[in-house]
Amino acid sequence: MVTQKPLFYWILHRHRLLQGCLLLLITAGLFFRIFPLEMQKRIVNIAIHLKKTDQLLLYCGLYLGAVLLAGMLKYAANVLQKYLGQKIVLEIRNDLYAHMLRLPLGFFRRTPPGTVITAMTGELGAVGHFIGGALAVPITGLLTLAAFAGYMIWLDPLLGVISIALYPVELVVVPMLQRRYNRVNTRRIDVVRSAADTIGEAVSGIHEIQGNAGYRLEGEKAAAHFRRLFQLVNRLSVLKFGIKFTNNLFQNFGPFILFLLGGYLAIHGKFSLGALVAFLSAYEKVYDPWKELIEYYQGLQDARVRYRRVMERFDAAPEFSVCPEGRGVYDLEGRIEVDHLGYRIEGQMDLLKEISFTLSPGEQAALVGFSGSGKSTLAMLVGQLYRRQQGRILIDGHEISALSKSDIGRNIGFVAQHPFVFHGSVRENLLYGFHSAALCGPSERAAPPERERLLEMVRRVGLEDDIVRWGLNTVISGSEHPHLMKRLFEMRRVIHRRILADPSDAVEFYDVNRFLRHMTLYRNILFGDARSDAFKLERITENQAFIQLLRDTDLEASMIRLGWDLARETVHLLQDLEDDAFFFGSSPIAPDQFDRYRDLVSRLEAAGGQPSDPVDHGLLLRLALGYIPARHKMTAVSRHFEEKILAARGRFIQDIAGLDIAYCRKATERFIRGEDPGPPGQLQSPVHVIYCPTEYLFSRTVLENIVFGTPRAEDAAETSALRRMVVEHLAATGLLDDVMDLGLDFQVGSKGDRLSGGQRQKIAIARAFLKVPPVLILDEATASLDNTSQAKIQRYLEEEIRGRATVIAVLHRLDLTPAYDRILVMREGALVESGRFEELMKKGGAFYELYHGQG
Amino acid sequence: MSFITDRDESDSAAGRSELVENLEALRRIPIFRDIPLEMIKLYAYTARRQAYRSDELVFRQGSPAREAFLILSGTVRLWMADPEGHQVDLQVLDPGGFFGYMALLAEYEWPLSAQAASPAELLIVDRRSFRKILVRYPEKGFQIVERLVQMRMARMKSHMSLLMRHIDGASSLDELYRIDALSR
Repeated sequence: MVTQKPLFYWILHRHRLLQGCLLLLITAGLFFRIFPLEMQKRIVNIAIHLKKTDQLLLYCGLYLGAVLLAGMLKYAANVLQKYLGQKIVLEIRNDLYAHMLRLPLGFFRRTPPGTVITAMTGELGAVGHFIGGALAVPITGLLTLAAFAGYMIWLDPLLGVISIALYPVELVVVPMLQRRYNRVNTRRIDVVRSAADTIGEAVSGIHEIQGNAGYRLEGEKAAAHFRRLFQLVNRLSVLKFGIKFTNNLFQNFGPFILFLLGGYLAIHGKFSLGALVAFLSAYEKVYDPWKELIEYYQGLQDARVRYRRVMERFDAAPEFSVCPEGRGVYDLEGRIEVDHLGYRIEGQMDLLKEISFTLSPGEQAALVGFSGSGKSTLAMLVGQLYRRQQGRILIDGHEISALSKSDIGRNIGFVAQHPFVFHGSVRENLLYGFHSAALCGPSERAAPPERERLLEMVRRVGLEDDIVRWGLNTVISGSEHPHLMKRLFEMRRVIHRRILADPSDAVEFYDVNRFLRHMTLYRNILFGDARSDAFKLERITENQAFIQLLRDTDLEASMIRLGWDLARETVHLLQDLEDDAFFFGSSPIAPDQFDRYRDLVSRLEAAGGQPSDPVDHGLLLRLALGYIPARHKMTAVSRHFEEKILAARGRFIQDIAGLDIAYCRKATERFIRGEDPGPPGQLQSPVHVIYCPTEYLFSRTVLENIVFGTPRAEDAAETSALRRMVVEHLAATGLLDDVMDLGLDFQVGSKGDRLSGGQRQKIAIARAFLKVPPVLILDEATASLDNTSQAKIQRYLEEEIRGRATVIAVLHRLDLTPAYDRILVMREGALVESGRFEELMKKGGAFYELYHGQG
Repeated sequence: MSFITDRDESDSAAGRSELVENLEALRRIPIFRDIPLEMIKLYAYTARRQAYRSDELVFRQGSPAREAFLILSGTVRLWMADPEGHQVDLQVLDPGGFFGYMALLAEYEWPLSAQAASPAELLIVDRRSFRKILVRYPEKGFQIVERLVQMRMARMKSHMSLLMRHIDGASSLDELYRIDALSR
């Protein structure tokens, strides 16, 4: 098991070849680090001494070459070392994650998610920094040390031994000082904290202090802390500079001995000048391996502790294997036998005792009981989410603990009370059971169901309306669905006539003659889709033609003012909330732009609000262009401003886009009256497509294209009436499935947070049903659904699932029980009654009491 | 260009923004008494306005409760359907009326219906935004929750005393409580 492996297991067993290479690289590098020393000696002793220029050039050349080579080898070794470390961490991380996912549920109840996350990311990462060099560094350190020391001793044994002997002294003194420094520093932190508390208390209680004239008393309290702080900081600097002093002393002490002794020897001709130079260089260099070895030792301790902590956290055995051994994955029939089952949790409390019952394949059982009677525990035990303790659970005669997770995954569909939905599309979530199926041996993966089947299931669980709505809110871009786009476009007039027949203000029509409150100012001016990049919103503030247009229509200054209002209001409102995208729903500033605008606002406010910088102007203008009056409620615009926008729109379409706005005006008027707007495709140019009833609007959603306008409020009754009408038409023309297919691609957000609880529940139910498992366990699966959806799913169980899957449904609502073949009644962990609804009611026992208690 | 001081009068004639208007309305609700303006402003920012035609339903008895409502203009009638389906009028609320507020704390089924008695505009706070803002200001948030519960308990007290006056004898009250105790 991964958590039982010691840290060095990974180092000794993984990537031995690479580790060998690393060692080789370092050893080779070592040679090229000593070689220059010998060259130094020869330059002095031979080249300079004998005044030979050619020798000088040769040795210098060799010196340079060796230094370059040593540098390159060091570089390669460093890169390889980090690579190795990360590679090993990658493996530990993958193994550990796979292990973690299989741990029993109890582990996840005890361990908060944050702990698991930091253990998996931060702490392991820190181990990785150490791991790459875990073998190479000490070996190299020792080798280098030996090499330099050897070289020095070879040059002169006495001198060599003395200078090497100096190092251990330093290595003892400095860490000792460092430890004392750390101790004092810890005390300093404590004192600072208590001083802060005292000051904080004085500030909060200032009323009381001033009221009682307690100045002296409070002053004394704080003064004691301040004095202590003064002393500690002084001691800290004494120690700190002590360390520095010792370091310097030793570093200079060595050369002192060298010069003294070496100089003496050289004067007496027992030691050459060149050797002395080489010795000095070697002495300097021998310090590095010493230091590295010490650091290695500290790193080792640290990594060991971290590694052990991480592994201890996950040190539990998975309860079930992933794949079956020596056989293929079972296809079961769904006979469930529970025999004297018991389950006990810590504290000796029996959650379940002596439970026995048998369900034949296809039988549907309702599991009911008083709160806390162990219904969910029983369901989870049968679903192999917990491990049974006493008694037996058999499925088709196989003991459940002998079944692997693959057997369970294929044969049991489990819907939890609060199911989980993953980041991704609705479709991906529905197919989770198919994508996730673990591959065991040659067994084939079941083919995912067709679109028809998915949509049928979506309807069965009552998710249809939501899927349709998501589909209608999709923007179909460009060439994905040309056929669908054409047909949707054709629906527009039919729907419009229906809207006119029963007028409401659910829609703000794309009326070229009006200022639209549900569109950005940018769209209000362009009133269409720009086909050239120069007129896209991202680039428009750099577009000279557009800026000139704003100037000509007297809009530029008002726009920048508007941008400033928006920036200031939004930044002040949201500055502490930028971590949550939820709050940016009605913000004109996108979360990723927030920092820029916050800087801008604080800069301009500090400067008294006089921006002259064109970059600032551009930013504010950009913000104003993205302003949607109906959504961004932090500011409002005047009628006069709206008229200026309309004037700009006219000039843009006429002069810049080169399209006939008069034609569009007439077409729109005809359309709004319910007449034929004219042949399609008239108001397009290579640069622009106008929002005219004769065109498909590429930047708008399916629904907006059909109704030719923006629905005003998302949940309003009128909008839903409108949507109903549109859906009827889609169904009649056979387009509904296509639109729903778009809706299946709706992104549910992280943990499905863009869904309601009911929607998540429905997705989970559909996900389990789609697998068509022979055993279905529903743990209050419909509890958070409205009555209609609940009834719908109940009907599906009765009509489609009956006879095809054994069902255990934990139910809270007892009015659903008559439909079940058997009702199992639990009380305080025991199975007290079992039978059909009529039998139990006639009997007048626990179920009767439960049923009437609820009425 | 000095665009901040040089206000063009015709442009600023737009009046107050929706945010400021919402803020004005929300400050007057008792649950926001002594709550810092910056926090109420977030509620003003996340709240949604909706216009109702006369007689339009705001919510129906039995549907899931997810939002609280503040009347900005118009009037709203609260009624209950008795077991035979007859409408029993309970109350008519005027502008400033705040109802459905327990939905901010937990989901339940509306025990009554709300219907616009005249064309009305409501400010709607949903539970999700309510919570998201609440957790940002834990201490103040708790204070708001306390106020909500106090408001509810005050109403319950008046309901209970009303009930006591209309029920004869302690035995029937006993009956009432037993059912309540058994249902869980």
